[in-house]
Amino acid sequence: MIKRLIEQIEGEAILTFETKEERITDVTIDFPHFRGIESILQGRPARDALVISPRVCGICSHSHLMASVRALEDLLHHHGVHIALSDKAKTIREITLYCELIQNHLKWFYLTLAPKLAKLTQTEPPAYLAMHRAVTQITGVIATFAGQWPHTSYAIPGGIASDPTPLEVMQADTLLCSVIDFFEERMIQESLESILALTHDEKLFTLGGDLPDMLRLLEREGLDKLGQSYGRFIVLGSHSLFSPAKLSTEISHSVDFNHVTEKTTPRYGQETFAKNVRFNGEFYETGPLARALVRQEPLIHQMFQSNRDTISTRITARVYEIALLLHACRQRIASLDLNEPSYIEPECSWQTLSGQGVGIVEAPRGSLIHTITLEHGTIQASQIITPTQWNLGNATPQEPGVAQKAMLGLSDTEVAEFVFRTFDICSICTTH
Amino acid sequence: MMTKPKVIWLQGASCNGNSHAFFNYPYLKTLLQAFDFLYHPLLPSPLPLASIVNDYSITCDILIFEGSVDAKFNRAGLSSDTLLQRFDGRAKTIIAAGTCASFGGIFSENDQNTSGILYRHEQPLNKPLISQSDVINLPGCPVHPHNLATILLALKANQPIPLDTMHRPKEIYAHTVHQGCSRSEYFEWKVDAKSFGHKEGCLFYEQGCRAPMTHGNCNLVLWNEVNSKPRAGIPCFGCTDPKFPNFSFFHTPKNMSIPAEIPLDVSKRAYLTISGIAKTFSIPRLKKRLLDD
Repeated sequence: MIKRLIEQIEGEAILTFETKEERITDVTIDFPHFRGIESILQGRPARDALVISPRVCGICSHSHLMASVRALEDLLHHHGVHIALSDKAKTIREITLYCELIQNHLKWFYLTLAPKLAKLTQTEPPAYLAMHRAVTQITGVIATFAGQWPHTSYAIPGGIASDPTPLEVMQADTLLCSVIDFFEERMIQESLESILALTHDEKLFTLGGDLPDMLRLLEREGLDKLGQSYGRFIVLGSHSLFSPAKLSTEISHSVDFNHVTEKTTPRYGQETFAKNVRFNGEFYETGPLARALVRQEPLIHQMFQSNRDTISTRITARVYEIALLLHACRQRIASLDLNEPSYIEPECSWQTLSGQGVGIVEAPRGSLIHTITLEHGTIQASQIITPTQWNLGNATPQEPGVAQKAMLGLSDTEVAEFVFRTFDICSICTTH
Repeated sequence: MMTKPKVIWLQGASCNGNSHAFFNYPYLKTLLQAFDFLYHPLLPSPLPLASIVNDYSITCDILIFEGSVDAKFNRAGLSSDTLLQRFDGRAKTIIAAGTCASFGGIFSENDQNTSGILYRHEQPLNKPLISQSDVINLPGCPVHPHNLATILLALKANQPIPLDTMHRPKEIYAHTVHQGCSRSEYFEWKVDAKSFGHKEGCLFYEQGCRAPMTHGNCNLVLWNEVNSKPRAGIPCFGCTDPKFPNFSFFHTPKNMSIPAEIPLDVSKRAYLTISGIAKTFSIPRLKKRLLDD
């Protein structure tokens, strides 16, 4: 038995490996950090969810806000309260959410992944301070619309609380352009348009930049084809770029949320508070690779055809998503009509509302689900299912979870840890 | 040449929000060059967490602690209270980064025994977790990166940092969040925001803004260099306050149509007198939308 403490992720995780004849035969993923946000919400007024829920996680607080506001809007809708979101409010919510995904992916590449790979291969990791500047700029875009990042509560049932002016929008666009400059100069040395038009990784391998460099290093070290899991993918959130779909042998757009189940595996009940999540009884991977595949992005589709869901495909999908999101944010900023209202007050009395609402968004690591149950305006129950529960949940050696399966059969636990990191680990979200 | 102070950043029960807020500090490179950062939860660090936890000989000049202190909450296998207390008297200064480390914050809501380093909400702990090192509380959910960075630099320069009775630097927390708010003229003339989603109007009367009752400098030192919640249109939730999160959010509780809580140290009589007079005047400029003709 070999235990490894995984740090410099969001929180910490403990991997316990069982090996036989120098191959990993089983791995337990433990997340020790339970804080009980769901019970902190109990007994509070409905809209407190917009202030408390973001505090689940410092790196994806905005996604938790969006899931909570959608849950409350869903609840109002079931109550017959008409929720009219202006296009402006919808678009600004999308922009700030996409920006949160971008900052996450940037940090993941330079802080979670690159230093570990450098250690593994005894090479120098790419410097992270240029990325730091890009992160301060992309979070500046969020703050322009949302007041601050992290931990804002600007999305409220009926719209957004802010009222940006044309010059503020111009400022956000300038910050965005500066992040695009960083991406084109450092991550993939090519224009965004050309990156999004790539159809084959052959071309990607000819380019300069920290992603192509990492892919070449992985290939040289024989690490590129590791980390394959089930090859089943799920997207549950609805956005301008993403829509619910699943992919096992083919893409299906009918995904019934009622087939999602969450449970604790008793075998691992000692240390971990993470519950695993299945769809129709099966494990699915969620996140950027799932999103790119159900969108049928040509480059990622080709890499999946050639290399399946190995780490090179998974890493490329996440960096490629930065390009996709940056491009989408610029388009959406240009399309804003600031004369529209930011907020249309729902006609309801919060004190009398009872019922249940579900809010689903695509967070940095995949589909995030908040379910809120109210009785006379007070939160009776709250359930949060995070993307990392899909990807990192524990199961049995006979039927391992997604990340567990990706690590089985490897001979080196250091390499297994790197494979684990490609899923983008958030211990904090997993246990919440 | 001045030696670089050694800094270690550790966490109790936390969301990592203070770590991520700190990462927004625009002059991070300059700051990192001024200190010897032995460990930070996000940044590549010379020491692994397990070494800090297991090697008693490792110490530092400044310990930054993020998150509430919870004996059930382990870091690298050691409970967060034991880990923190190991630095008592060994680190010269301990900075409580954020409301959780200062006063318990959100994550102390589930358990009476979970607290900040010296306080649980506004109550000093019977047995403070730190008694020998200097403790500086920097509340905020999360802590403002500029506040943390400038306090670090002031410590390095041996600059005196006067603290208030709750161990907060006066220079930061003597202000209220209300000071510097772009909506303050609306407050002066008692013009309330008609609804969310407007640049105009004060959020104190209906939307539950706590800025006049909250110690902090969010409207003086802007967030992410560009904005603050009240400027954008989001009420202040009082996140630097020892009582956070036990407030009414998005809604101002009232008694006889007067806000139940009024600005800090203002007598009800003074508030009612000034409000009554201000309300008798109607100022056209403050009644219309900013960008209207």
